[in-house]
Amino acid sequence: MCSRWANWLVPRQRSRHAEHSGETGFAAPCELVASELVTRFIYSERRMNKLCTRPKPDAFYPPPDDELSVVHSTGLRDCDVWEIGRRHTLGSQSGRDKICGRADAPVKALIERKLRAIRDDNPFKRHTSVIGWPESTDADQRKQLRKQICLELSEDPDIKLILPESPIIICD
Amino acid sequence: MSTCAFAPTFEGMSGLLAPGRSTAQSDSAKNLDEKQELVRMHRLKSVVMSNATDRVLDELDEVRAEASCEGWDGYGARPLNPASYNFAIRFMNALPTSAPLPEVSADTEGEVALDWIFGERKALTVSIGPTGRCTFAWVLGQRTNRGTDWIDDGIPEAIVFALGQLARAATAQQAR
Repeated sequence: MCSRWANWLVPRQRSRHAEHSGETGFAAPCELVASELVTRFIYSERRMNKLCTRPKPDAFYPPPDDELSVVHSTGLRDCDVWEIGRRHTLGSQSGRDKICGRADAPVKALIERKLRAIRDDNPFKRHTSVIGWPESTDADQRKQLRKQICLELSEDPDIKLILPESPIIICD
Repeated sequence: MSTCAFAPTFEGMSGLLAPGRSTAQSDSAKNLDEKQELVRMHRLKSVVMSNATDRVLDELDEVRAEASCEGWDGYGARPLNPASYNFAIRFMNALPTSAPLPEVSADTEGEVALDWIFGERKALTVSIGPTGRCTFAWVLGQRTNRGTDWIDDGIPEAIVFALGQLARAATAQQAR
């Protein structure tokens, strides 16, 4: 009985440690707290302003399934974040032949806009979905609300646009 | 009585000429309208103005080519809708001659996206839909605003207002 209890406890502690250090994945989807950091990869220069100083609002606009894909990047080195983008996202779907930049956003900036970051580790470790986008039966109203949030995110000084030294492409 | 004059300009900005929108029917009103259009066309033909506007229209063509297939942005964006593209051309041609010009893109839903960035927390974003519907949001300091309006015979008043406010704030900041 004692050993079963101990076996149950050990993985929980590992998971907690992993969450704290950001080293490994989660067993189940987990909501990220305000102090965490997420990264949105940008595959088109049209999603950054011409001076390459800010992400444009549309860099954050949610897709039809309303789950904005980001990566949980707390505690990662700069090169590790790029490597996740290169290894796990490039070539996986249309338009992903290079990474032009990325927007690093504190989860706090999302929570302030009533959004939630859920780390689901699917389809790869550290993958996170930003959910909670405003809904409305009126399509115009919904688009307005979402555009406003995306504009606020693009203008938030806590959200940083990071450019690679050269575009990140798939390794041969 | 003539009521046309040179009214439809950007609020708070001087020297900007938009296409005439007067419905006045008197001879003198029509005469004023014609003169305004002549001045506007003259300004449009100037090297500086026409180059700038042409550049944005060229960019719009580039966007149309880039955003012609599903998922062009790497996140499943819809291809640019041709009707949105046509309305965007109308929008650009109706933009007052010395108005600031936007950066052009396509949004996730296949609409033309126009972005004006005037500086820190001074920005306007507009999506032009296939029915001429403009969905917009703008930020000026701590204030954010949003709305929907339609392109009919010109640029929606609310967008003209937003651009005027932002341009005035940017000019004031530069003067400091």
